[in-house]
Order: sequence, then structure tokens, then C-alpha cells
Amino acid sequence: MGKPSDLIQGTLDLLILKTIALEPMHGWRIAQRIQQMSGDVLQVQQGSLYPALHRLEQEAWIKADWRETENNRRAKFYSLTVAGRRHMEKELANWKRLSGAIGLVVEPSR
Amino acid sequence: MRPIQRLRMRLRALFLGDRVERELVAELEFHVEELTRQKIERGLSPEQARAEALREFGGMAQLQEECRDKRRTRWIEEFVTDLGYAVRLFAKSPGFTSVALLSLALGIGANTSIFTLVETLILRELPVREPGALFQIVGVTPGQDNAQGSFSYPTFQFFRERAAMFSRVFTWTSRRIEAGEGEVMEWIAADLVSDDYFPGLGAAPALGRALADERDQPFVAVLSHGWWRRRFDSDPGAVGRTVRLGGIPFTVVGVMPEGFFGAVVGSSPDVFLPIGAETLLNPTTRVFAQPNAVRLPLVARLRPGVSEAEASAGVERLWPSMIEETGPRDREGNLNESFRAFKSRLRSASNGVSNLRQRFQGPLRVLGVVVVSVWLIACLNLSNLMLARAAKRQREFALRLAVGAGRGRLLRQMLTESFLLAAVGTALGVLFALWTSRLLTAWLSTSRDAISLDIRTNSAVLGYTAGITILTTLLFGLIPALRALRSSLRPVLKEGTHRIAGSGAASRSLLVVQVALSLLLVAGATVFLRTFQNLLAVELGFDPDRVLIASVEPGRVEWKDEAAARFYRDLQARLQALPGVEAVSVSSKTPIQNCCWWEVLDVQGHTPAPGERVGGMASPLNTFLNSIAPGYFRVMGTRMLRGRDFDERDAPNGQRVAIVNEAFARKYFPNVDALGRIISMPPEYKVGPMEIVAVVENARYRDLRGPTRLAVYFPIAQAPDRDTSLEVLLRTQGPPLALASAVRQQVHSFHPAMPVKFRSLAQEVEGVLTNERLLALLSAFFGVVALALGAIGLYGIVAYSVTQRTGEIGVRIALGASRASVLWLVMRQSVLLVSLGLAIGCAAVFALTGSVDTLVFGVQPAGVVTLTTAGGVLSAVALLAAWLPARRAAGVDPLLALRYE
Repeated sequence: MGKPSDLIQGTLDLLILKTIALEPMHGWRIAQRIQQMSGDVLQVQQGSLYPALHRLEQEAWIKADWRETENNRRAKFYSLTVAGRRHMEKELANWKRLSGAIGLVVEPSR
Repeated sequence: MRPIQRLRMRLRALFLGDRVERELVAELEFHVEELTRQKIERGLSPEQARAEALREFGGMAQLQEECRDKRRTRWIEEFVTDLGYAVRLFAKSPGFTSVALLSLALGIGANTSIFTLVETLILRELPVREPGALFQIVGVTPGQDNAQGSFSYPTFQFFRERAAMFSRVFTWTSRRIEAGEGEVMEWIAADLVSDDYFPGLGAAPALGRALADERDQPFVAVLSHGWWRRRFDSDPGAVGRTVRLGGIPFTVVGVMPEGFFGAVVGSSPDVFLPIGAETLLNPTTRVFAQPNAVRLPLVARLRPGVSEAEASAGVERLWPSMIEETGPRDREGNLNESFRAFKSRLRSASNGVSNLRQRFQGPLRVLGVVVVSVWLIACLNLSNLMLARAAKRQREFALRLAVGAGRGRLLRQMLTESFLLAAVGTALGVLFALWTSRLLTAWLSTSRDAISLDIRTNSAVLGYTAGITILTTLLFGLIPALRALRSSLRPVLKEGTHRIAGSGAASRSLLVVQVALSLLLVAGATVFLRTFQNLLAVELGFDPDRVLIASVEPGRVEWKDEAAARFYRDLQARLQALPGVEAVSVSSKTPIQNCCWWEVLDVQGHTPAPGERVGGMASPLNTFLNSIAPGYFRVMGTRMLRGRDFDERDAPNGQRVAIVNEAFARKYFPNVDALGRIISMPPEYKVGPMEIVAVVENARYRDLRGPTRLAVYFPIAQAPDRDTSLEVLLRTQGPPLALASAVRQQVHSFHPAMPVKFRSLAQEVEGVLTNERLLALLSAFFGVVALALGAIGLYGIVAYSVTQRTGEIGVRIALGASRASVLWLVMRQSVLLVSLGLAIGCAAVFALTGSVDTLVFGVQPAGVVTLTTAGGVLSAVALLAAWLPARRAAGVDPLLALRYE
């Protein structure tokens, strides 16, 4: 159960941060949301998801608390910290710059 | 915020580990349940859905492990685990552990204490403003080590007026004076300082003012912090009060801050007085204007903007005229030759001025080599022990590697073990160092010459210790660890424990180095022990056992000359009547510690060579002088060769007489009888010629080495240089110091507040052997430590190789090898290694022998006797250490050994 080859590490971080930026959610929902929003292209394996969440939590980009789900079950909800939001914005800018640059190289005609 | 939250997460992971684990399990379980729910929604049965979800989810334990890794506290947890494991391991082999800890504690402790002493004595800067700008002016003789750091008052004045490259030039002189009056009198140490002393040193008082231009008003005093606390109970109102010093009232004008001890490292003056007070305290003093009284150090502060090189060149330019104008001269006006030969030198005084430094530099250097060697031996020994252990544990490591432990992880565990040893060893070593530093300072102090050093383990010393520890850890932890892990695994696992490639070449070379270092230490111990022995055996010319010395100061105010003479006469009579007293006398000087009064005497019929007669300096041509009461030679146990002792005939107004020693008689009257010959003091003493009435045997006056000095004794009643402070000498029947209280009682019956100080002559003689005793004790101690460590190391290696070769030895014995040949088989290697080590050690001894020349007496450091003694002792111990396990090998039962195989 390695990481999916199409998800390099920094990208997964960005996906997670961006996803929970809307509202706090638990791990399962994060995975579902990413899959759903990417039109089933990005499937985040739990083998990558949970270590990533724990790492981000240790870095204090995100924080976790236990809440009730809509089905009245207790789950660990992750939300962005202030520092995390700043970090996300920086990463986002980086990502835009990088993907734009890659786009220029890969499809120079456009 | 973010750092705090991160720290909170780490702490949570560390201390709420259980809860964090439970939450992790719950979180992952929730995910599985959601997955199951999704599958049920897609139409699977609950059991099927659960099974599929679990399968899809994969290794739960592995995922948990990955999440734990993200906590970044893993290494701490593992470290704690490793530490616990290490503690259990060490507890299981107490022999290894105690040897290892002892080696470390000794190695690190000895280094720390010696380095603490070096730091305190040599390296630490004075607690003053810009100590780097302070320089001492000294004269050096080309090609010689020791420098002339004492000059006359005219020389001081010369530099103060002429040396423009210095902003200040200052000097001082130290003396003991009695403080107080009436009931509370005590001896204190006073520094009499020149006007520029405080501004020159860059020291400001904590209270009041320092001394400035006191030429017209010399009756002022600045107190040291310590004396202010003792005497005035830290009362700020002390400034302005009057204190009687040497019977003269001085006004306290200031108090120095804590930690200020002047410019001399190792001294602790109680008061600072203007140098002009010297003449008041001691009217006969000849410090001023006398070019022959060379006893003042010269220290200067660089003018801002002047470099050291410029200042040095400036002093060099002034030097010839200084010698011409202020150098010591004889009565015919000839300059002293040795003084003329001095070349100028500026010596940094940022770390103060100290004769201790010169005195202890040699011993400290030797001790430095000794402790570094001990440390190396300790490390080598530890390395060997660890190598043997690592070899023993090779199978354990192989097994752990085979089941998937990372090499890095195992390496870390071994480093943790080393770290634990080093940490505990260092802690023990620091304790050991604290204890020994104090012991060392106590040992360096003599009865006369108390040394006060502010010994504290400061950051530099701690850094040094920590550095040693890290080095130690690396040295003995990493090498065996790497060795153990580098070897390939499979043969180890296949063949079991007893066929492991041993700790061969590495530990053998370690052993050779260890033997070589041990030889160096044992040879050092031999040399310094014999030096000490030889010095103890030196013919003193007096018998130091059972002689009590009481320093009695009658004070200047109530005791005028005749009164003082009567006092001593009466005291002598009363003490003579005390039970347990064999003889009593009085003298102004005592041998060794309270020496010396040097002069050049005129001898009728002898024409001095030019420049020969320069008084005041301890030149071998000068004569040691002493004023003594009748009975002095009887108390001292010095034999009178010819003539008569002084008696009541030798009154102040009677015929002036003198007693000379054999050396004096032989120098000046080689062919005629000295009795009846006439000698006289230099004219400035204004006393008439003296007739020699006796010749006594030579005695040691200042040190136990070197040539015998000339000596002349005067009757105390005719003393040319009357000093009211005299020493009362008693030859006792029992231990001398036991009589102290009886003597004090007698003195107090004359004057109840008179301070009396006691010491024994034997103590005084021992005092001069401080360095030698210290070196002998420490080098013997470390020699024994080196021997013990070496023996343990060798024993360990041989015992280990015997265990390894049990099978082979069994086969040999079964095939008919004799016990002797088995013994030789095992010993052969040790003999070879020890011989090699001895050879290298001898080479090291030869290489270092030059540096200890001045420290030894009657021994050749690299002589045959030394080397054979040291080599013999070392070989005997080494062979014993190898023989014990070898004998076990020779006693192997072939049947058992082969079955074991």
C-alpha cells in the first residue's frame, strides 16, 4: 500500500488543506471529498491519508477535535489553524506557479 | 502560537501516549466502519462488507506505525527504551560496569581537576576593566627560562616618568601586619600599592573611593570585600572609620568589590595601603631610593591606541638607560653583572601576575601529560572492554538484523549505551574533580604561604569535560559498534557464538598503546617518588623533628627596643621552665619558609671581585643572615664545629661578634682559622666590625637543592637590623604542636591580646617539597591506576581469547600437548604485545625526559634504573594478568572442551 504514484507528497498536503479549508471534516470525508471533486481521478488511499494528517497536525497546520457526525457517531474532525491557512495560501501560490510553468513547457504552443 | 501548539503535540505524544494511541485506533476504526457502511449500502451483507473493508484497508498495524512515525517523538521514546535496556544490561554485568565507570570517572575527573587548576592559575583573566591592556615588565637572561620580575623603587619611578607608551605604570609590595588593638588583634595581609595601582589595574571600589595621590596623606586604607565582611560585618558605615594597622591609625576610605584580589593570582590581601605607608610601618625598611632593594613588580597599562609591539619597542629603547641609571650597584659603583645582562620583555598580565604560575608550571605540565595519558588509557581500556562485549553480542545483533531491525537503529542503541556510561562516568568524574581540586589547592598551600584560589568549575572547565565525554563516547562507542555491524551475518548465525572473528587486530593494537602509556606513567611515578625520597634524605644541617616555631609580634607601640629585648628574655626563661621543653631560643629568621635576609659582608683581608657585592638579591655570592638568641643551634640541632655560642657577654654595647658557617669559613678563610677574624656589615647598617667567635656546620636555608649558601649569625642583642617581629623556637620532647596552648598561655601572661601563630619546623621543610610531594603522590596514584587498568585490559583480552580457543586447546591437549606448551601458546601473544608496548613506551620516555629535568633530583628520568624498575613492574603485572586465564586454558579438560565444540 504505497502512495499513489500520481500524488506527490506536497500535493496531497495541499489537497487536504484546501479540502478542510471549507469546513472541518474527518478523514473518511476528506478522502471522499477529494475523490468526488476530482471526478474520481484522485483516489486518496488511507495508507497515505492518515500519516499525512498526523504529520500536518504535528506541524500545527491543522488541528483536530472529536465531534459528532451527522449520524451521531464520534469522529476526529480536522480543521485549519491560522498558520495552516497561511501555509496553504503559500503552497497554493507555489502550486499555481509550478503548474503554470510545467504547462508552458509541456504545451509551449498555447 | 504555532511553536506552542507543536510543543503541546510533542508533549501530548510523550506523556499521554496511551490516550493518543486509543484515539488513533478509534480514528482508523471509524474509517473502516464508514467503508463498511458504504459497502452495505452497495448491497453487501454486513459480514461480507466488514471483511472486504478490512481487506481493502490493509495492514492496520502498519498504518498505525506510520502515523506514530509522524509524531517526531519516536526517537525520544526509543531513546528511553534503549536507556532502560542499557541499564538492565549494565546491571547484569557489574564487573564490566564498575571497571568502565571507574575508568571514566578517573579519566574525566583527573582531567577536569587539573584543567580547573590550570584555568584558575593561568588562563582566567583578572576581574578588572580591559585586562588585555595590562603588561608586566620583566628582564630575561637570553637562553634562560626564568625571568627577573622584581625591580627597585628607582626603576619603578624611571618607568613611571619616562614610559610614554603606557597610560599607567604601577607597583605594589605585600606584607603581613597586625590589625586592631587591645583585645582584638589579628594578622592580616596588606598590599602597599603605588598611586596608579587602582586606575592602572582598572578596578573601582564598591564603596567610597580607591587610593589616588596619597603622597602627603599616607594614613588611608582601602579594604578588601572579604575583610570588610569579617571585620566590619559588611557595615557600609565602615568608610570613614579608623582602623589600627601595625599600631598606626588608618582611615578607611573605600571597600573593593567582591572577587577583587589585586594583581597577584593566588593571593588575597585584606587591605590596600599607599606604598608610602611602608616607611611608617617599618622605619628600617630600605625599599625606597635603594637601587639594591629589587623586590617590586612592574605592571603597566597600555595607552589607548598603542600596540603591544610599539610598547615593547619603547621599553627596549628605555632599557639601557634604565639599567645605567637605576640598576643595582656595589659600593664601588659597579653594576651587578647578572642585572646588566637582562633583556627587556613585556609579558601579558591580563591574567594577573603570579609567582605561583612559574612555580607550578612545570608540575602542572607534567600532571597534564599524566592525566591525558590516564584518560587515553581509560578510553583504550573501555574500547577494549566494549570490543569484547560487542563480539560477545554479535549473535544478538545478527539475530536482530535478521528479523528486520535497521542498522542505524542498532547503532543508535549501542551509542545510547555508550552515552549512558559516559554520562554516569562524567557525573562521577565531576564529583571526583570537585573533591580533588580542593585537595590540590590544600596540598599546594604551605604553612607560611597560604594559597587562596577561587576554584570553581566554570563554563570553560565544563566545556572541556563535556568535550572529553563526547570524544570518549565516540571513541569507545562507535568503533566497536561499527565493527559489530560491519561483519557479515550469515556465518555468525550459522556457527554459533564461539567462532566469531574476534576483536583481533584492533584490540591488540589498543593494548600495545595502553602498555606504552602505562610504562610512561609508571616511569614517571618511579622518577618522582625517587626524587621525593632523595630530597627527604638531603642533609639539612638541622633536625626539623620536634621543633615548634611560635611567631610572636610584640607590636610597635607598647614595645620599644629595650622592652622587646626584655620581653623575649623573660619569655625565653618562662618557656624553658615548661614541662616537655628541652631548649628555647629566638631568631629573626627560620630556615626554608621564613628566609631570607641576604647581604654581602666585608671580610678583612678579602678583596671582592667587581660587581660581586650587590646585596638584597639571592645571588649565590651573597650571605644569608640571621639574628639569633643563645641556644639557637641547640634547638635547631646544628652542630657547632669550633668556638662558643653567644651568651650574656654579647650585650648591645659589648664587643660585636658573629658566628659563621663552614661554607663561609671555607670561602673566605681557606687556609687559616676563621676564629678571631673580623667581618663587617655594609656601611648603611652603621654597625661596627664583628669578630668571628664560632664556626657551625652548614645548614639548608631556602631550598633543598643547589649549592650550600654562606651564612652569618649575629647575637640578637646586637642585631644590626632590628626587627621586633621574632620567632620563638622550642625543641620539645613530644609532638611540637601539642605544646602550642601552653606557650600561648605564657605569651598572654605578658600581653593578653598578643597574636601568636604556631607551626612546626617539620611542616616548614615539608612545605618546600610541595611540588615534589604533589608530583610523587599523584604520579604514584595514576601509575597504580594505569597498571590496574592495563592489567584488567590484558586479562580481559586473554580470557576472551581462551574462551574462543577452548575447542582448539582441547584438541591440542587431546593430541598430547603438554600443559607448559599450552601455557606458552596462550601467553606468547601477550608477551609479544607487552614487549612491543614497552619498547614504544621507552621511546616515549626518552622523548619526554628533557621536559622534566628541573623537576627531578638525583634520578635520571630515562636512566637504566628508572626504565628497568618501571618496565619490570609493568611486565610483572602484565604477565600475571595474562597468566591467570592462561592457566585456566592449560587446565582445560579435553573431553569437556571437545564436547562443547
